[in-house]
Amino acid sequence: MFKNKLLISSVFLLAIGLQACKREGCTDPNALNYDANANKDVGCIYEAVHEVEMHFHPYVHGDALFEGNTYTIEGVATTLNYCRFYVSNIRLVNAAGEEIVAPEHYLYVQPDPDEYSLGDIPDGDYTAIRFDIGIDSATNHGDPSLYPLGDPLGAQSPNMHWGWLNGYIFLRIDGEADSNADGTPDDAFEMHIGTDDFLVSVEIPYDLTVSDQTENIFHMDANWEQLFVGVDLANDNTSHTTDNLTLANIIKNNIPNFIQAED
Amino acid sequence: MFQSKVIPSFLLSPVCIFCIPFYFLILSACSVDPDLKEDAVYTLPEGFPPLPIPDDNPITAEKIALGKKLFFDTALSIDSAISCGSCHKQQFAFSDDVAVSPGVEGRIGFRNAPSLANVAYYPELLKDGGTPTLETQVFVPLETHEEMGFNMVLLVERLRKDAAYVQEYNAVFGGEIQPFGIVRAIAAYERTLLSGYSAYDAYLQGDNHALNASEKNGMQLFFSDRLGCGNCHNGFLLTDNSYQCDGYFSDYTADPGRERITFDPADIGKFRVPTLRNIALTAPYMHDGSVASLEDIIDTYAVGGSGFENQSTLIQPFTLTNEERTDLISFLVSLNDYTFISDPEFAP
Repeated sequence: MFKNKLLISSVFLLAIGLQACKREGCTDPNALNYDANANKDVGCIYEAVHEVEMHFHPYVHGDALFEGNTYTIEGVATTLNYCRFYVSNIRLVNAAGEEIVAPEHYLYVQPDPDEYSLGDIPDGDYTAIRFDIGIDSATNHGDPSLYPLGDPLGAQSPNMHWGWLNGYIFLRIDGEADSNADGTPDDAFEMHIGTDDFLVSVEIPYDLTVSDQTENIFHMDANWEQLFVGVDLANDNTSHTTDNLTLANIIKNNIPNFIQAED
Repeated sequence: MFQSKVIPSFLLSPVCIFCIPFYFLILSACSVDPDLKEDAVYTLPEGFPPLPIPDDNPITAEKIALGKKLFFDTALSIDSAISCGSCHKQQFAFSDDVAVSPGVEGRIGFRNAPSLANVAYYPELLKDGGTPTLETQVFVPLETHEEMGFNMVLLVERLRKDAAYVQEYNAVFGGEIQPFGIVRAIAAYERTLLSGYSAYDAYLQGDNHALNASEKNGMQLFFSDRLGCGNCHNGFLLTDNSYQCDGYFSDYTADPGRERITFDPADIGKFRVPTLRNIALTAPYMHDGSVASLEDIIDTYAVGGSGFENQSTLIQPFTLTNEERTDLISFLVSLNDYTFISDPEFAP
């Protein structure tokens, strides 16, 4: 009986105690006025954010790239059927030199469409954008069936994933090259670059003010001819990375010149 | 100190009075032992460890049925010509009797179709261990040019036009058809392909007459230090799942094996040690199916292999009398599971 009374009074005391401990403030850690001691939310103030886009305008020697069209690259008539790549780990560098991580972590970039959202980014001045061509190792070797169709990391057609290696194709170029100098590109080739060692980190200086005043877009040129510099398109034009590391490395070493801020 | 004597406040909350019926619901749902439920849809052979089942792919009868339907459906190949079952035939313990099975349009790849018996237990799939789960493995034959030559996006689009699949998928996984459930259904079916009813199993379970004198002698030889087969072919699947170069070949240029995955030259010529269960049912042999008989392999081991630079040091020369060789083969044949190859449960 005595125990019961003690219990009931304890509950009341606790309830009163809890009431007394309530501290008003903002309880959202993501808010500007977040109060770690607050336990009663009375409103938060958030940083102004706006959606930022990244556009990749595809070119070959300054001409717009359309998949299926033929271009002269490294002196060789070359039809480009598929030109696709992954962009990930996107960070904007602000005026203070701090990195702001873009909410959209993975972009599957195709010539069309060429506009990609990076999600909402805090207003302010930015001086550069950093990203990887490729996919981080943990995600690279994860399970692609976890993503629904339409997700950048989900199944794609054409394939952007090697089942037998359980890893993504970071960069895919399929086409035909004129291997016998008759002017007709009829030698089918595949350049499928991937595996962890082939992830390339890129930093591009770019002054962009994110605000509600303007469109907030990083305009990039994807200069596809740059990837072929030093490639013998007529004679040594196919690599699935592991079966032709030499060619894969030439392409990898060309990636820093591939994406440039639009003039 | 004070609070420790207090009943947790949420239990006293009036809201929770309304929770009581839900508590009963939750309790009754939990009272169904998931293991019991799963035992009803597959039978674990005696002596086998529990079936490893991923948290995101519990096995149900409906899922197995969907997986089996997909496994035997030619819709999985680009031209609807072949199914998984075209190369993994039950009569050969879900392997094939040709060196390299033809894919779509008669395309020939470079590896022998493996038996799917007990694949649930492999820590990694494929002969080189390139894919970590049965679920991710489904992408490989589906999308390999020399196998089904298809694409997951196109397969999903094809199946979404099939009213029966739409209904069955929704019943098992909920929602519209996605890669998620396609690979999980097939993997669930494959996990149930359990083979553990050979004469050797009966012998291990105490039936001394299950093996004859020749088979018993072959078993002694197999596990002897003299031959050392059991150094790699051990455990309930008669493999330790390690990657070894057995030195059967002297040149692995055409298929470097494990090196394809690790890029390590020391892995050239290494392949996962195969299970020897049903081995006499799964000829031809080796990674490329180029070897017709078990005798041929034993004779190569007997001379100590080719001496390829990455050959396992466990491959050492030995001598066998003709009778011993016959006994060793008899033991290997005793690993056949005739129940497995005739069980209608696994058939389309």
